[in-house]
Amino acid sequence: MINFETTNPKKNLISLTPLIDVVFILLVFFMLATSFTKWHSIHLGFGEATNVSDIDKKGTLVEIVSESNYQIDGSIKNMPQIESIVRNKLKSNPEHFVLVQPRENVPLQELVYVMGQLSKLVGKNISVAKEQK
Amino acid sequence: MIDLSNENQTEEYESILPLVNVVFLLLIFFMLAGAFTTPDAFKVSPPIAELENKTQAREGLILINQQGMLAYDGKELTKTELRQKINNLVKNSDKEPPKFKIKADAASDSLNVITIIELLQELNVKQVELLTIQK
Repeated sequence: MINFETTNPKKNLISLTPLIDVVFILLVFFMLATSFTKWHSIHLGFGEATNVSDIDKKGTLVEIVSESNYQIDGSIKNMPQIESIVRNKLKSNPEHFVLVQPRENVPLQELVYVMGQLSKLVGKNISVAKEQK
Repeated sequence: MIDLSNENQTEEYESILPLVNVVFLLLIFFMLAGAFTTPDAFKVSPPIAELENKTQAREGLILINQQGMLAYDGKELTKTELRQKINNLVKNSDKEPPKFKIKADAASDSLNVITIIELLQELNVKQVELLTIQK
């Protein structure tokens, strides 16, 4: 009589090693090729008052002199003072426009900081311009 | 003599099963949670901002590095070449005017970025966004 019991079912298991190899390779690929950076953006609106010459009629010109030094109407201010000036102007005109003008060698991070702080007050009514020579 | 080899093999498989499970879970996590990225023409560390306007980074992306070098579509360009390329894109867009995104280095001179913004404005581009990462 043939004994079928001798064929051990455990022996017929598919080898897991190649599967694990492939899964590891896939894992390494996805780990290297994917990015988890969450991108955000600042809208750079080209509003009506993007010319420095027009700004006195329609809004406020904020000059970035250097890091943490800003200028409005010829006097140096800090960020809370700038925010308070813009807030007061918004009371009389809710459509008040802010034009940010960095001087030479001002890093982009500073411009983004100023735009971020002021756009909390004026929304999309903010733009940037170069110093006119 | 008792042959223990089969049992040993099964035990070995059983011992690596939790590892395989974890590797599978990690694989699924990276596949679902991550997004594929193509390498930029040069290294750019974007500025950090507090605002929360989420965006897709890859659409009409203009790169500006710390030295003011420009790239579009993964290729380095001069300002004149960029002007030409954008001008063509604006002219050839049938329905909506194309949108552009600027990914500039946080340490780059703001004036370099504004020069490009003004160039886009000149070429009648209506929508420009500056890419940032959240604080």
